[in-house]
Formats: sequence, structure tokens, C-alpha cells
Amino acid sequence: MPPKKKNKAQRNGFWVYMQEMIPEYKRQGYQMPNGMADVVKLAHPSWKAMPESEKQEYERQAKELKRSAPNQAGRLDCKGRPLADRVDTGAVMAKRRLEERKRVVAAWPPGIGVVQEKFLLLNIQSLCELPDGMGYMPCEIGVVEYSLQDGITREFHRFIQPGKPPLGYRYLCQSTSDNTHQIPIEGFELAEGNYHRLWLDLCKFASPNGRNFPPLYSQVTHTAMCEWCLSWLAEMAEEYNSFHVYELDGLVQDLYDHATEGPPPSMSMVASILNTSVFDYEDGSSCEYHASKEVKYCALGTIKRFCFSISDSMAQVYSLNLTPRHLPERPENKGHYTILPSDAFALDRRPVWDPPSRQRTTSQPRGAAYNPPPSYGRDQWNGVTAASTSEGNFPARDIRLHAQPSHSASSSSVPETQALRKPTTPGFVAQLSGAVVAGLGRGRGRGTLGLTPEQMRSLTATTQPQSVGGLQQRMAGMTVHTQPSGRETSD
Amino acid sequence: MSQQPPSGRARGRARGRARGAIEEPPRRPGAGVAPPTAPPPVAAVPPVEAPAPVASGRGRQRGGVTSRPPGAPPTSQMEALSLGEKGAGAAPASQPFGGRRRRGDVVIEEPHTRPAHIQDKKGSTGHPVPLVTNFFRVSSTPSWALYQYNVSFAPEIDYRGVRFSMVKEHLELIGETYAFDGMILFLPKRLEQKETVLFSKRRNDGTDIKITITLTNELPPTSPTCIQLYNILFRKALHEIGMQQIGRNNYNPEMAAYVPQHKLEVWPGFVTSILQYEANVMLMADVSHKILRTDTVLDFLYDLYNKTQHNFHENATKKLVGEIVLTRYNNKTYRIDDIDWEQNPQNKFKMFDDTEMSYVEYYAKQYNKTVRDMDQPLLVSRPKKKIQKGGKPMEGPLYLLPELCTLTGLTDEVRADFHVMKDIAIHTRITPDKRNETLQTFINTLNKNEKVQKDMKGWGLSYDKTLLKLEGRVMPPEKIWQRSGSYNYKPQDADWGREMRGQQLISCVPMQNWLFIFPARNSPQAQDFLQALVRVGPPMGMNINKPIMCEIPDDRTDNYLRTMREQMNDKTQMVVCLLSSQRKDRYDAIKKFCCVDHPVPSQVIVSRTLQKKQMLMSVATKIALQLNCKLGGELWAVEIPLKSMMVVGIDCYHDSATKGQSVGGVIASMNNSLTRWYSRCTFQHTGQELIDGLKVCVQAALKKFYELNSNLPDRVIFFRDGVGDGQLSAVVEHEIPQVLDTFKNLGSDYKPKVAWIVVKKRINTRFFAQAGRGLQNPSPGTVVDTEVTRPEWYDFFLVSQSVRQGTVTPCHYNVVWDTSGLKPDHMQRLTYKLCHLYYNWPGTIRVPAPCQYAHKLAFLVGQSIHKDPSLNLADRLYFL
Repeated sequence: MPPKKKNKAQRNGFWVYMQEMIPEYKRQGYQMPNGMADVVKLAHPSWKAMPESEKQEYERQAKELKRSAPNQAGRLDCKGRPLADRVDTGAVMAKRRLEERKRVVAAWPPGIGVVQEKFLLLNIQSLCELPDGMGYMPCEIGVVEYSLQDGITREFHRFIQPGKPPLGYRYLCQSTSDNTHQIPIEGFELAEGNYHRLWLDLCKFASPNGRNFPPLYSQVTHTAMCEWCLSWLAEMAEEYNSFHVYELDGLVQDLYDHATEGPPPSMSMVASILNTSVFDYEDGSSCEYHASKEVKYCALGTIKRFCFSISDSMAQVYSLNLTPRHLPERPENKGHYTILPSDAFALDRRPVWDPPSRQRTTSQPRGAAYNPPPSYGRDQWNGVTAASTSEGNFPARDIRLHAQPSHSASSSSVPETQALRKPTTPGFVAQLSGAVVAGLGRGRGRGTLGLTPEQMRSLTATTQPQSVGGLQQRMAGMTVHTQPSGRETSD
Repeated sequence: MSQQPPSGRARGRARGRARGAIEEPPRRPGAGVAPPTAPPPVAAVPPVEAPAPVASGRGRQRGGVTSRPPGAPPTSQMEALSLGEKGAGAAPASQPFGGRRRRGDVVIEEPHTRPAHIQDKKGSTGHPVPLVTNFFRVSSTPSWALYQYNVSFAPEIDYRGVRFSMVKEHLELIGETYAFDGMILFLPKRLEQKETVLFSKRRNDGTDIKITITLTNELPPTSPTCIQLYNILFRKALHEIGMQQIGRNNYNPEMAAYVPQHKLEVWPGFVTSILQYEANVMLMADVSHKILRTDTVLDFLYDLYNKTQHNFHENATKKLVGEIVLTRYNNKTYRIDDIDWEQNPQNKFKMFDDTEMSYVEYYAKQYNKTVRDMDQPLLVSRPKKKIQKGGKPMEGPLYLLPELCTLTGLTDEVRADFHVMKDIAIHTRITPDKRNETLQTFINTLNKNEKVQKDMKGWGLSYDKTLLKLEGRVMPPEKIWQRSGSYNYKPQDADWGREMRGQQLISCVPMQNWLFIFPARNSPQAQDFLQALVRVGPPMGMNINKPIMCEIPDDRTDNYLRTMREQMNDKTQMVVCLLSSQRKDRYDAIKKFCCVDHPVPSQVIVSRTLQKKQMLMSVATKIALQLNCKLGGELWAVEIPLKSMMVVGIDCYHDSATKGQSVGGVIASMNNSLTRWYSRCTFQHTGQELIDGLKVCVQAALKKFYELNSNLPDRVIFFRDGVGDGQLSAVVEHEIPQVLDTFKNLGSDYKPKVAWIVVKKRINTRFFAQAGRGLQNPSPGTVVDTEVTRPEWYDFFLVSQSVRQGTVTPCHYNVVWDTSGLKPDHMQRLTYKLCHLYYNWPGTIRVPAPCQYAHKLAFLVGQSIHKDPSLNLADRLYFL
């Protein structure tokens, strides 16, 4: 490709505006020895100040110009549309969403007051995604009302009759169903076929007073699908769709941002908070149908899990008082399992193998006393071999204790109970030394996503998972390091 | 192709399409191939700037297509271009004729990876054994050469068919034996003149056409172009003897074996390819089988209907949707996406030329098939995007007639039926003797077929009558070390499960604090298992305490998770879960919890494995060994004379569920006896090789090595599995430099000796050992490094495992990078030693243990965990 001509002026709306203004500037007596470069300086402030609607007119003119330019004539994209008309839909959408988010956030009460704000979270399960923008086949919808202060307050859940799959897509639907939500394609008795009633119920749930429709939040990867499905539902119900779907990931970012200073956590960070597997298979989170099938792909279950992880991660930011409506209840063992007494099974501890006599071929020369390859004696391995002699010194513990050295050493103010808390959350959080400071105070084994915003930020900064035991820092200088317990060798 | 120097193909696209230049007709994309070394002939090169009144800039390519002058075929271009190929035969990497790679063609562009210092890749240890392999030598007459001509027509002729027929008119000059692709003509003989001019008349308007046949090249028998030709000829020959191509392999329906009791038939077939090997061009042929069901979908529907008429449509849909069917008339497979009950074969459909035709007529006309049942529904198959080739994309789904579709594959019902599988196995699992016989019959059929023979004679080629014989070596069996001593195993079996009994393991981690979770109804089995475990443990040196026994009322996933969550504490060493049934999501949830959320080694046992009482002891022994590995213990070792060496195994797993992600497992040895391993895994998008992730993993492993040994390894040997046929160059170009770079990062004076070995499991090469009169599988440890290896590689074959049924498959090892200073012999021995070290099997395995470990890791992460497992577990074999 030949090199681009760099000095080619861009003929955009601003350029048109400048062309229009040149006579005006000349009349005012400005000298423009550098040509357009000078005009830019002059025209820029007034262009900036111009309202968007007036700019539009110039942009339109610029497009006209582009179309009629001699060597641009008839340039089409691969679908036969003029290149000049091309719009980056993705960017436009992203911009729109960002603005919407800003508008929503602006309406929030400042600071901690946002905990009372109610949000509607939405999830829709579909039988399949039809190709070429033919849409989806929604079969289940779940909405919950959630606020940071009160947790999940109301919930709405229905199965939807998706209709007959179009010819040739039955296999796709069947396999999606089998692999995920296991909702039958046809003849599902729980499915609601009266779309009008379903729609009215949904509207009533979302807006009990019937006037203002609050935003619905869905996972960023599902927003397009949710929007499509809602408009499809509205169409089937012959009603007007007044819902708007927002990105849940953005909401989490905004909530962090609202309470604290500094840059919000990254989207991928938020996504991994939301998609944590810690709350999968939690009692009573899914709908009855899915609970009986032991399937986690439930519309209701999915959003409830989102609520759990939001509560868990926001607990410290907003000093929430966590209730069973925030996090799943894990009552003390009520027949979920029984620990058998250690003498429940009578065990015979005699070794089974007689001194090997018959099986082994007699000619087989037994090696002399263990004469290991010379490396064995010098093996230094985390004290595993040592562990075989010293009781209870299990290497896993060694490693794990190493994993948070700064935690136990530097932050001595951390209460002991917290230090004991187990990292049940995904590896990346656990690996953040010191980050495992849960703010829940709700007993052991609960989620530990309760990071302070500062910790969240440090998380976003360190994308690289840290290696075990601050190994990297120590290894960086390649200093000789010997395991404290590794010097002992086996007998 | 990525390693190719800029080929004419790219150039053809970039400049060849100069518009409007009549005297420089456009080149067919992909046709013109000039080797970069040869200076392009003066007259033929299209000028860089075409003297055409076109606008320059970005619109150029798009417009170029539309304004291509009609009736200007690229022949004249080709003529001159291929002149440049003279002598190119010596460079094996040059392009095949036609330039375009068609499906099923041999891949010629494999990189040369033989390190320069390796003059002789033969090893020496072991005693020589005579072997037979599934190769036939392709021999040609001594003065044999292939002559390549260019054929041009004036005035130009566009239509390929016309060109073919015009060349055919001159058979008396060309001879019976020729190959012509519309532009290039191959002949086994030299025409008298360098440039022959012939005349033909165009039939429709009687124009005189001047045909110029110019000699462009004379190719030696080893040139890749020749090999391409051999393959084309061979495929033709296969067709002559009645083979049918299904997929990539050829099958012989005439020799089909029927299994009427199960409505099955087994087609014998062959996988073949002709390639240049160490000294000769050889034909490799291996037996393969295709199992077909003889019942059509219509039969199936009738059966179903006769069984129960209730809910027939629903039942049929449920059973058939998702099945793969084969249409015998064109040997293509389709997936049934739906059934259209509203349609029948008499319905009409629109042909591509907008005429209407009924399905019955269509099949009668197109395939000469009569349809009997006029009321059958139609099967619907939605074509994949890929299949839609040609100008117009296919619209809408494809309709198939049940009567003409046969089901393929075995249903789960059939698979579970022991008798069926046994009946099939008679035909498919064949002994080396039988395999040899089949191959012999195959080559005899080829050599006896008159038409084939005539053709072959014309080309001056012949196939050997017998399988290639060569000499291999059997490496001596290894001594297995355990704490209580060393022992030998039977070299034939390469299995020391029996010898191991009562021997102390090298190191054991006492199980003092562990959790055992089982459903109440499996309580008796749990007790039996526990009993067996505490009895088999001590003789091996394992000290197994009583666990915390948790009985759960039913086997719901949340019960397992809740119990683990509440009963696990900092001292818990191990969790053993007894599952009453095999269920993937439950297994996944448990593994996810134990590998990510709360890192602890875990063992899941399906209750079925504990059912057989008489097997319980051996099952318990195996599980005990596995538990010890997962806890970080070591089982056995072999003698490794090399000191301060790190062996790294790498494998990939392509996640089927979440498209777009694949997992790479990396595992590195941490001590001199290669009994301790450190593992990491990486995620990457599909299609991407292990680019950045590998660096992180290797670095982490080296650091861990340093931490444990207080020095960095002097030698690092990589075993890379999971490299596809065409990806070798990607490995050589991307992964190796990355790893070398990692070493640099660790210090400027750190320069370990490195070897990188690519392991290939799926190969068609087979070896048979001569035993008395017959043939049998070669014993474990057999190495072949002559004849069937490739001249451009430093490679060898190793048979490391022993199989009880069928024919053993050797593995191919290709050393693509070697600064290790190891002699070929040492390389082979090291590889074989590593095949002993897989702790899940007391015997040798097919691939070196690090490869198998890496595979296990990648599989676990890709299938179940989908996330990075906790680093706390990285220093033990928790993924076994």
C-alpha cells in the first residue's frame, strides 16, 4: 500500500464550519498566513461552544461533500452501502450506555445514601441464539429487587413459552437445553403461554405504581439479548416496551466509584466478582424446577448469585449489615450431613499382602538395600519428606501460610478471627496478600470478597497473579533461599 | 505456510491484478509461483505500476475484480513464470504445482528442523531386532524424470473443459500417459522440441487455435512436485480398484463384512500417503475401518412406530435429532437438525436455476435412486457456514430423505452391549499378522489390476511387492527403584504392578487429617473401601489414619459442598468424595471447590468402581497410590544419570464447551530423579498457540527449581505434545524463542542446554516384529531411527507401551531444537526412561510421563475447573 498522504485535510463538520467562517474572519481583519492552521485556532472556541444540533448540520454537509468528492465517488463497503454513511454502531452504543449510566448515577443520593436505592436485576434464559440477528428463544425470566441496605426484597420468576423453534434449529435448542438450563423445548407445563398476563405481571412487579419504569440490570454479555427478549415479549403481549436494560457490571463499577475516590475497578475485575463460583449450588437460590434438577443455569438463581456477590464485595465499602437477604443462609448443620463417630466402622488393620512369595518370580533379584540414585538424599522439597516423620506438619499448610506473609506479619491489628478465615473466594483474591480481610463478620467460610476500595484498586493494578509465598519478590534478586523445614531429610 | 518466504501467491494478489492492461493479463490468484531465489524472467513480470489509467489508492483491489478483461486467461503468464522453477526440484520446500493447497494433499511445507550439528541421528544402545513396517517402496526407473510443460492457447481459451479436450486431441504426440490441470502438463517423457506448436479447431466456430507446449522443468523423482503427482496417481489407482473415498480415507465397499445380527457392516479401508522418507519415496498404508449401520432412517422410523404409536412424532424427534446420517449416494454426512413431518418426497423444491422438481425426480435423475415410500417425512439439516461455497451462499436448510440416509456411529445402547462390541472387534481390532496380510492383499490388488499397472508403467513407477523390512533396536528394560530396593520387570509386558506389591514407596505423606464424604446409601461400600485402604496402605509405607467420616443423606451437589465447607479446616490434607453416580456437573463443582475456592487435594470415586468385592483390594491399592501422589509423595523412580536437569512437559486442551478458550498445561520436574513436579496452566484463545503464557509458566518453574535446589538447571528438556500437522513451524518460530528469552531474563550468564522435542501420538506408522513365521507387536523399548524417518528432521520412533489387543502404535519424536549436548542415543534413552514415570500406571505408557501429566492437568482445567487452579497445589500431582 502506498504511504498515506499526511497533509490531506480531513473534511469533517469542523472543516465545513471553518470554510464558512473564513470570509467572516477575513472581514474582521484577521491575518491567516498559515492557511487553515490559523483558522483552526480561531474557529475552535466557537465550534466547541456550538450546540450539538447545529454541529449536526455541518456534519451532514461534510458527508455530502465526501460523497461527491471526485475519487471518493461510489465507494461502498462490503454490503454495498456508501462508506460515508458508515457508523460504528458498537462505539455509538457504548457511548449511549455510558451516558445513561451517568444519568442514573447523577440521580443517586450522595455518599452512603445510595444503599437505599433499589435496583432491579434481570436475567433471561434462552433456548438458543438464532444466527443472523434472528433473535433468541426466551424460556425463563427472573427479576429481583435488590438494594444494598435490604438485600433481595422481592423476586419475580416465570417460565416462558418460547414457541416452536424455527425449522432446522431444533438440535441447537435441544443441545443448549441439555447442556445448561434443561428446560424442555416443547410441552413444558410450567411455561406461561399467556404473554399478555406475563407482561402485565412483569410491569406490575417492576413498577408497582405503574408510572416510572426503573432500569433493569443484566450482565454485560447479556444486555443485548435481554433487550431483544423484552421487546419480543412486549410484542407478543401487544404492549409497549418501556423497559430499558442497563449493564450490571457498570452498576458495580459505579457503586464502588460512588463511595470512594480514585479510578473504579476494571470491567474484567467486576466480571470475575460477579461470576464467582462460590455461591453456586447454594440452597434455595434457584427456582424450584432448577433446584430439583440441581442445575445452576436458572434465571432466578443467576441473578440471586449476582446479588450475593455484590453484597459480599460491597459489605465493607458501605459497611453493610448483612442479613439472610444479602447472602444465602447457611444454617448450622441440620441433617445435611452426619459425622460418624470414629469407631463407626470397625477396621481390621492387618496388612493384606502376605510377604510376597508366590506372585513374584523367584528368580527376580531383589535389589539390595535401597541405594537411591544419588539425588535423593539432597532433595529439598517443602519438607514433604520431613512431614512423613514430623506429625501434622502438612506441606499444604506451609505453603498457604507463606501465601500471606505480609498479612500476618505487617497487619497485626487484624483480629485473630479474621486471620483464621479461610479464603473461599477465587484464587486471585486469596492470592492478594492482605486482601483476605473479610468485612462480613458472619462466621467462617463466608465469602471474602469484602475488599476495601483501595484493595480493589490494587487488584486491578496487579493483573498478574502473584506466585506462592511472595516467591517473586524473593526470587527477583535470585537470592538463595532455603525452606525452613526443608533441610531435614527422610530417614 | 507461514514460514514460507514471500511467495508468488501474495505477490499475485498485490500487483498482479493490474487493471485494463491487456498485454499483461491478470494472473490467476494463487497460480503464479516463483521461488524467491530465482530471478523472475524479464518479459513476464507484471510491472509494479501497471500502465493503466486507474486511480491509485485503496479502492484498487476491489475495483480490480470487476474490470478484469474478459477472455484473458493467465496462461501466458504461467508459461514464463514456471520457467523460473527450473532446478527448484532440489529445494524441497518449493510449492506444488497449482500453488493452491487442496484438501487431502500432502503437506510439503514442513519446516526443516534438523539441527545442523546432528550428522547422524542413529542411536546405539540395545540389541537389534528385525522389524517390518507398513511401508512400500515406490521405485522408479534409474533415469526417471518428470517433465513439466506449460500449455498456452492462442487465442486464449477460458473454459477448462475445452482446453482438456484440445490437449486430448493430440494424444499421438503426448502419449497415453499424461497429467494436465488446464495449464501445466506433466509427461513421463521428453518431447522432441523444447517448444512444440500444435493446432486445433474450436468446435463451435471453427477458429484455429494455436497450442504451444513449452518445456519448463525437468524434475527428479524426489522433488515435492513429483510426490504430489504420485499421490494424485495413487488416488486414481485406488479409485480403479473400487475404493470409495469417505472423508480422507478410502474404503472398499466390496470387501465389506456384515454383522447382520446387529444391522451393521464394517468397511475395510486404508489410510495412505506417499512421502519422501530417509532414503526413498515410500507409500505408507495403514488399515482403517468404518462401521456403518445398514438400517436406514426410514427403517428406524418404522421400527419405532411398530413399537409404540403413542406420541410417535415426539419420540422420533427426540431420538433422531442430533444424529449423524450418511447418504450413501454421495458418501456425505449430515447432522439431523429437525424433522419436517409436513413434507414428503413428492413435494417440489426449487432448483438453483429456479425450475421446480420433486425430491423423487431429483434423486432418480441425479443419483439414479428410486424412492419407494412416498409418505415419509423429510429430515432437515442446516448446513454449516463453511460448506456454503461457490458464488451463491446456500439458502435455507437441506432436506434429506430418510429412506436414503443411513445412521452412522453406534448408539449408546449398542455401545453398552458387550456382544455387539465383541462382534465388531473381530473385524476392527486386528493382530499384527492380520494387518500385514490385509496390507499385502491390498498391494497385490493394486499390482494385479491391469489398468493401474498400465498407468504405472506409463509413468515408469512401481510399488514394492512386500512390506518394507528394517532394523530397529530394543532398549534394555529399566530398573525400577523404590525405597526398599530395586527390581526388574518383564521386558515383554513393561508392567510392574505385580512386582510392586509389598514394596515401600519412595516417599509417603501420612494421611492424618482427611475428610471422607459419602451418601448414606453407599455407606456399606464406604466401609469396605476404608477397610481395604487401611490394609493396603501400611505395606507400601503409607500411614492412613481414620478420616472424618461424613455421611450425607443424599448425593446432592450442595450437600457435598456444604460438608466440605464446614468440615474442612487448615489441617485438612485431603478430601475423598464417594459419588453414587457419574455426573459431570457434580464432579466439576467438587473439583472447582477443591482446586480454586479452597485449595486441597481431592479424590472423587464413583461407587461403581467399588462394587466388585473381589476387585476391591486392587482398586484400593490404586487409589492409595493416587492419594499419595496427590499429597505430594513419590512412588518409584528410574535411574537418571543426568544431573541438574529439568524436564518440561507441555500439552494443550481445547475446551469444547466454551469455544474460544483452550488450556495449556505445563509441568516441570523439580529434582534429579524426576519424581517431583511443579505445574502451571495457561489460558489462551483458540487458535492461539501457547504464546505468552508459556513464558510465565517456565519462569515460575525455574524459580521453583531454584528455590528447591539452590541452583538453576543446567539442562532443560521440553516435551511438547498437542502439535498438529501444520503447526510445527508455529512451535519452532514462536514457542522456542519465547522460552529461550525466558532464560535470558533470568540472568545474562544463565545459558542452559536446551532440547525441544515434539511428540506426535496420532500417526499411522506401525511396526511389527518378526516372531517365528508370523508377526507380532514389537516389545516395549523398540526404537526406529532409520528408513522411515524424515531426512529434514532429527526424529525417531519409539514403541514404549505394550498392548494386549490389536496393533501397538509407536510415537514419533521430533527433536526440533537441540543444544542439549545429548547424543541421539541418550535422547532416545531419556525418552524411554520418562515413559516409566507416570504414577497412575505401574508400567510404561505411550508418551513420556511429563506429557501425560500435562495432558491430565490441561484436561482437568479445561473440562471441569475452567479457572486457574490455586498455586498452593502447584507442587504436587493433584490432577491425577
